Amino acid sequence: MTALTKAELIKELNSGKLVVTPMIDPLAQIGRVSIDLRMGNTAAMVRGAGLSHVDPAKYAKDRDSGDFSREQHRRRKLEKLSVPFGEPIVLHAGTLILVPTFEWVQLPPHLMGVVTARSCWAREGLSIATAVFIDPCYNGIITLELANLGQVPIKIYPGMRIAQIALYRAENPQKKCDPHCQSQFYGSFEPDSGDIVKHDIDFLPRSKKMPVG
Amino acid sequence: MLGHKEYLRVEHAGVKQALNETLRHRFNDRYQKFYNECARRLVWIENAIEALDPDEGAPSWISEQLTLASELITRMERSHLEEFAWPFAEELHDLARAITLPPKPLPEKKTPKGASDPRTTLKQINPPFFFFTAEGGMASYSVAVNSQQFPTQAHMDIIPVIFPRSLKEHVLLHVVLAHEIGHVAYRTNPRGATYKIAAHKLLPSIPKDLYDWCYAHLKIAHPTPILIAMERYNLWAEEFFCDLFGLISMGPSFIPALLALLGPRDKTKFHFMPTHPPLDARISFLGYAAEALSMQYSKHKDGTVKLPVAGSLDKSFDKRLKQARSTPAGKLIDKKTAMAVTRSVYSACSAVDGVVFPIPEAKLMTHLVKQLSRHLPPSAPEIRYSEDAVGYDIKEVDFRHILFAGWLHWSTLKERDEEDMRKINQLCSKAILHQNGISFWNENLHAVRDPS
Repeated sequence: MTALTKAELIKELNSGKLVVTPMIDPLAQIGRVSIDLRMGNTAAMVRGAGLSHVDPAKYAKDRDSGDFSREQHRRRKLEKLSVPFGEPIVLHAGTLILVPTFEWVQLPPHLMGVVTARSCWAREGLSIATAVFIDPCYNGIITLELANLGQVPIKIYPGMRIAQIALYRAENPQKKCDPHCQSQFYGSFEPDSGDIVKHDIDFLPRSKKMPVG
Repeated sequence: MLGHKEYLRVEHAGVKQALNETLRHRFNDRYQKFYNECARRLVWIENAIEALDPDEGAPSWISEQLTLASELITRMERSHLEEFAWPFAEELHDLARAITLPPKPLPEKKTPKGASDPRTTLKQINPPFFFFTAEGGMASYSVAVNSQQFPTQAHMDIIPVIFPRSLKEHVLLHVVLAHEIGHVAYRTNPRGATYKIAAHKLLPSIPKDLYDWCYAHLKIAHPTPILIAMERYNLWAEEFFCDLFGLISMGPSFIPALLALLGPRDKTKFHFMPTHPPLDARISFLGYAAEALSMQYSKHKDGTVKLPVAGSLDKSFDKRLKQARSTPAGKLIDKKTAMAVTRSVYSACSAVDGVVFPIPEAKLMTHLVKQLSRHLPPSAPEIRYSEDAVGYDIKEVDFRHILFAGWLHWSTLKERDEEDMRKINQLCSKAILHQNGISFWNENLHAVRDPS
């Protein structure tokens, strides 16, 4: 698996198959083997006050309950703030904030992406992604999981280049993207919490009694 | 017993506290102006309360002023960026501000001592302060331009612009707010008088006795006429002007947005009776206006957009137009009058930078529509990247062209549902946000290169 070089990135961008839009400063953003991504304008923060812990079992129970429990769980978990250009958000040590990329990204079937922090930010203690793989055919904003691993709070402003995406060719790709077979975050417009129990529900405790002895 | 002076003191303290409580929220950087203006008014009201004789009655304007301040503050509390499409609101703010700015900067001057109505002088210098908020209801699109009619020592008008909370991201529908901004333009100095002169050319076409006319032609008799005929007569001219302002400033998108919102509620064919003209009259008038402005458009089978073209806005509008013009209401304003008024208003609007919808290049529109059909935000003109490039000129796309592309794309979808509408709106909303970023970057870049 080899990363696309600058010449190949430009070729894919010009063909219209790879889309990173809008690229405000292509000269600065298109690197040797990656494209820089900017921070977008929404910050989704976990509401610590209303949550003692993350429990997949509770999650599964709420998911299968009626609208009220499911929606309450989903809506109360994250607090979303709009952050206009020129205004900062402060990332305190040990906190997690989900932010979207400013750019909209569309990948063709033959390319997959890997998102990482720009090294200059990583050295300040900023971690931007733990789930770094972007599937072929992905379309939408990319959610960055910002965490401050250092001891000093960090201010970040929308529009700053904090992440980068490297593109790799996928072997034996699909001929074209299947709209019915997409990941759960396909078409995202803003960050949201994911479904942590998807396909794992069988490993969670049920309400029925467990066999004793 | 709580005397009237004591009660007003209690109410005043409550409003003041509510104003301070707003500081808990995050608003945009213009908020300080709102706070200072409200605080200034409250000081003035407090002085008026203190001057009251406890044994005599209080004039009603004091409680009216307190009510107004309380309403404004409560609306401001609902003005979180999360509750409406704020990048669109920023664009609308620029439009509203442009039409209310004095033609030339007036010199700073202090209120002369002893002047009877300092508001006259100060409000000429200070254009209104617009803020955006969301309220419930499909029809909540409005601009509270009437709330400023009390005598006060206001330094500026405060005008809330209201979005429907339930249509948060439906930027294609938000286009109708241009009609409401039209009311601000019509009723606010310095340009209102010019707009009135242009719109009053419509008056000879509007029946003098609307009450009788409505009964004869629409079979509608309003049981309790709220307004006298002459008032309605002038109001209709204002409403026609506001539709025209919407079309001139927002372009062809204004028509499908207006029809989408008014269509379902036009059971009597006399929507908003009696203050608004019948919908058929408005549709017919807009059809002539679009013709005069060459704002008709079409999307060809090969996906290209040609602008302007002689043809229909779209097939469904053509059908609706034909239907409207077959009714008495649709015949109220004749083509000649409509086109003459359109040209006058267009000429008046052209005097203000950024108000008139710029006719886009067909190539740009084709590209934007193509982006939407690929489920991409219509954010940028086509760019050719190169390894040898020494620089790129990243141009902003006018937000109205984005909305126009959205309506064009929607009008040509063969199988469509509300989910398609939602997605197109979200993509267009995202594209407008992108323009906000490009604009911010370009301004800062120029500021760095040219600090002067």
